[in-house]
Amino acid sequence: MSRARRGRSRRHVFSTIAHRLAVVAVLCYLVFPVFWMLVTSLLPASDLLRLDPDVAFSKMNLSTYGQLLTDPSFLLPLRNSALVASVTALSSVILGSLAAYGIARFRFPGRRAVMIMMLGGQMVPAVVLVIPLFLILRDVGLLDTVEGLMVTYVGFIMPIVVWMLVGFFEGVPVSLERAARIDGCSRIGVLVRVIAPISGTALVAAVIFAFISAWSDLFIALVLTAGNSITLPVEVANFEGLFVMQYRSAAAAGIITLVPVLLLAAVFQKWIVAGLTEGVVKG
Amino acid sequence: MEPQTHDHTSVEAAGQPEVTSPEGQLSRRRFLGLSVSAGAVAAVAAGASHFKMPSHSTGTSTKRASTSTKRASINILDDNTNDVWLNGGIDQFEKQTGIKVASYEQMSFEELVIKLPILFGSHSSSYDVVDTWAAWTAAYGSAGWLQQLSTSDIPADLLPGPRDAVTWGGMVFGVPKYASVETMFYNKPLFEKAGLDPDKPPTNWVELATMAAAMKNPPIYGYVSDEGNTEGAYQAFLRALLCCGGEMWDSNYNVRFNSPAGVNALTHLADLFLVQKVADPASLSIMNSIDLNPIFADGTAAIMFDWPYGYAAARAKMSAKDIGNAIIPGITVRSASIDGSAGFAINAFSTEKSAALEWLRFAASPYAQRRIVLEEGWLPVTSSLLHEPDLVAALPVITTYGEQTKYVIKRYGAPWYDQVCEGYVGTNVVKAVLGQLSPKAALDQAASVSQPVIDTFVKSMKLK
Amino acid sequence: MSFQAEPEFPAARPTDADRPRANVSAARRRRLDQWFGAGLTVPALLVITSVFAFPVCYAVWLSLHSNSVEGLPTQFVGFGNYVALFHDGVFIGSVGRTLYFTVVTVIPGIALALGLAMLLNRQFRGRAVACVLMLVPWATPEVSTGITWHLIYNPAYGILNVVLLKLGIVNHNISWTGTQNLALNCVAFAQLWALIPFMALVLLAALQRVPLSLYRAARVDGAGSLSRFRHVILPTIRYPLVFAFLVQTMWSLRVFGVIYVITSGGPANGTTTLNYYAFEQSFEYLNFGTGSSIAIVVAVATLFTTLGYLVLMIQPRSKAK
Repeated sequence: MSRARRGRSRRHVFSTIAHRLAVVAVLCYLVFPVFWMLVTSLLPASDLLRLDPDVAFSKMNLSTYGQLLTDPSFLLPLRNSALVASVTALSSVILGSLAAYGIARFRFPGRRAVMIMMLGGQMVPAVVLVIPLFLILRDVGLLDTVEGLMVTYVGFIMPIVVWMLVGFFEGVPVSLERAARIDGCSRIGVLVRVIAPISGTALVAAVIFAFISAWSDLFIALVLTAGNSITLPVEVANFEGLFVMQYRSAAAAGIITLVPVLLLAAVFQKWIVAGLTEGVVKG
Repeated sequence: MEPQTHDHTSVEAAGQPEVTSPEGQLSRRRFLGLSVSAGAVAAVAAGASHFKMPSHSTGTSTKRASTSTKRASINILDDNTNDVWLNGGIDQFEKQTGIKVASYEQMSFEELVIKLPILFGSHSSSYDVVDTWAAWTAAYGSAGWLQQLSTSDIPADLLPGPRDAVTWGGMVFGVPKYASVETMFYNKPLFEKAGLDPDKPPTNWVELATMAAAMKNPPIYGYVSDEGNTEGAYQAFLRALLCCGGEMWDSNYNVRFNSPAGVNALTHLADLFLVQKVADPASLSIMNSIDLNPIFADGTAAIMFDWPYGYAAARAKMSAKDIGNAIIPGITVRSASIDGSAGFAINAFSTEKSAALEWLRFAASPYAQRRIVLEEGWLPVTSSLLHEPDLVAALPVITTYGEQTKYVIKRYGAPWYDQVCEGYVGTNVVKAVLGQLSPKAALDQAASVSQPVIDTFVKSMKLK
Repeated sequence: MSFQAEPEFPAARPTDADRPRANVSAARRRRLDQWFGAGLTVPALLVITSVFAFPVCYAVWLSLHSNSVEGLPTQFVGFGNYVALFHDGVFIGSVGRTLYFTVVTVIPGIALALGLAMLLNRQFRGRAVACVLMLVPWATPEVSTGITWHLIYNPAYGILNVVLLKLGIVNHNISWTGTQNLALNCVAFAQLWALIPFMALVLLAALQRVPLSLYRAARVDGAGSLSRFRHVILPTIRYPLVFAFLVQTMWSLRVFGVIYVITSGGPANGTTTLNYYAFEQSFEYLNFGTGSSIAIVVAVATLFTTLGYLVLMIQPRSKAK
């Protein structure tokens, strides 16, 4: 082996080790808090939450999860969240992708204004918007309904979806559409036959993002829901009493709240990266 | 990973010659602009029709008006402290009065802080009974959001602490559901270990500091409190202030907490951390009883001032004979304590007020009170129950509570409670305890910003 | 399969002889295109308008009024609320705290995200797993975040203190969320944790678009890795980087959730940022007018930040034309 090659392989090994260590370190930071919450949900609080915690693997069990998942007052928010998040995600992306395509492709006057107007609502903190939202929903009878929540969420989330997808649509070569138009395809036909099939990854990324946003929201749901349409984050927040905090149940509920979105992100992970590649990051 | 061709995005840029027909363009564009603005105006106008700025009219909702033939039903919004209502309390009420409880919802305190102003501000009638305590009674009662009651609606023998929690400005706005007054809990084995007499807990702060120093053995501290947020800091200060015979404000609403008594109180409080160093520094992170109770139950705190629930929490890990309980040691007076009682109130916009009142009466009735004491470890709101043998046996704290009621018990709930007490006073108390400000400077600073706020309220409410 | 032949659409490609007619039809086609494009945005705009039009106007209206005795603003005070803010020590402190929080989350946040993205830009065994694990904080809803960090920061039994004590690094419980300056940093640390995944994802996607040829060319030219980074990578990912910077800044300026669930604005206003102060004023003090004015201030600040982004994004693009 020549000296040059020996030198390079040693550097290579060192850099590989350094790389792996760095990855592990960062991942520890990112994963550990949730891991600890998982541990909290598996052990009795009296064992764990004290100066020298007793982490006994033998004592770990899923009893809290069993309790929560068989409790109708927990299953209701779970069902509500799933319903609201799915419908919101799909609606946001359908409406949003249409709007994004319209903005990206057709230079109609005022399109910049439209894009800014979409973000207008996002600028004002939700803290002050919830009161009038409450009034509106009450007056149209949508208070404490999943439908009211869905409409509100779509309003909040769709602008971001539009912004995400405008970049994507601007990157799609016009040649495809031009060819289709020249072949006599209508504008709507172009949408359906040319654009839709190739937008898969970007749309999936947008759906996942919208789902996570709707699923995780706490503050708006706090204000607009009550007994009927209560969502999971609100239910979890209620685990905190004034004088006693059911840490173990709260941790278990926290994990339950996090698992579906994590699964989604994991399954569609490649799509998300690809979707972002083609969309948001376009220069 | 092919680099994407950054192709042009619009048809016009694809090489087609641009037709300049200025008039046509302008008129189209202007039309578009006009229609968009017209649409926007229409939308805002439509929204403006929702623009019912809540007027002073009484509740305008006509939904669910009960007729005499239909069974009355109420909706209750409670915090998540008590379980008795769900565990048979509601059934008993329905059986006793024939009134149906259409819904009973529990929410955390933080959530109620958000929901209640919105519900009241929008004159909602969706809840008839709501949870309340000293600050909310004052804030929401003075805003006209709680139904004012007459003194005949409340039990005649209400104890002072719970009574204060539901009255403001001489007006009654609710009925207490449980009493909560701070007393001193101490760990008898730790006393013994330090050579102190477990039956002679401190009777003043000098003794408190001395005994706490004797028992100090990190991680065990002689004294722990929950001053980790401004609310806890205010409570600690108020306790000390009352123990110095001071007051927050006088009957003319002039602030008096920066009087010599106040400065004395805050000095004593800060010294526990800064001078004598007997207080657990972690107290400055402990936000509330939730985190304080386990520390005592684990035996790492010898003395704490806590709400009655502290006893039940301690009993989870300690045996009854090891838990000592006595009245709060005073500074210049023998003793004083603070109140944390809670109650139920009637939504001013409710359409079922008489039915709601029945619930309030039920909550203070002996049946409900006994269950709250026996099953949940809270204190009864009426003096008639103070000496019931079975209650005393189940909850020794009652005896201490009875004794504590002989001294001053206050919370100073007021419409400006959050801003002044928790906000300005609490913040500056924290600074003093951290050593960032001298007690006098801290209190003077708080007083200088608090008085204008109080004055504004007093003027607009015509309180004097 | 529907053919919608337009009357003026030529069946064949335009020849020179057709040019004048092609001009007219192209213009009309463009008009129709523009109407079509605008039409596509209508459903979205309808939803957004119905959700936001009244609330935003109401928010501005609220900020111009002050409380009457009934606890709700009905008294017109013009800009009085805004003026009063500048005399409010807590407000001024909140501005400082918000700016500090923004700086402390944006700069380390983007740096860490970029670092993580670069780490993940290589092929290595377990990369897929690493990518999934990286997303954990992003997938964690706010409530769960609050519980998580409570369990970590709690002075008596939080895992952080337990570990530090056991390792002997400290000899007493540290009051993480109870010490004034420490609390804001702790919350920033938690916020970083929540935001790094998404930024890393964005930057990873950007890095993957950097053509390998560029890397190779730079290496052939003898560029060291630092120089490679500065002159090859950074310029190529400039736009996503700017996007990440600005999104992160916008989020940090408006931070509320993480403070609400971890420290509730304490200790002694130590973590009271602008948005949280707006919440406090509105719901705890029932000063809806003041709360709204603070929120509008935040909105204006966010607007300027976004405009700055648009300026940065749009100009180079028009140059590239």
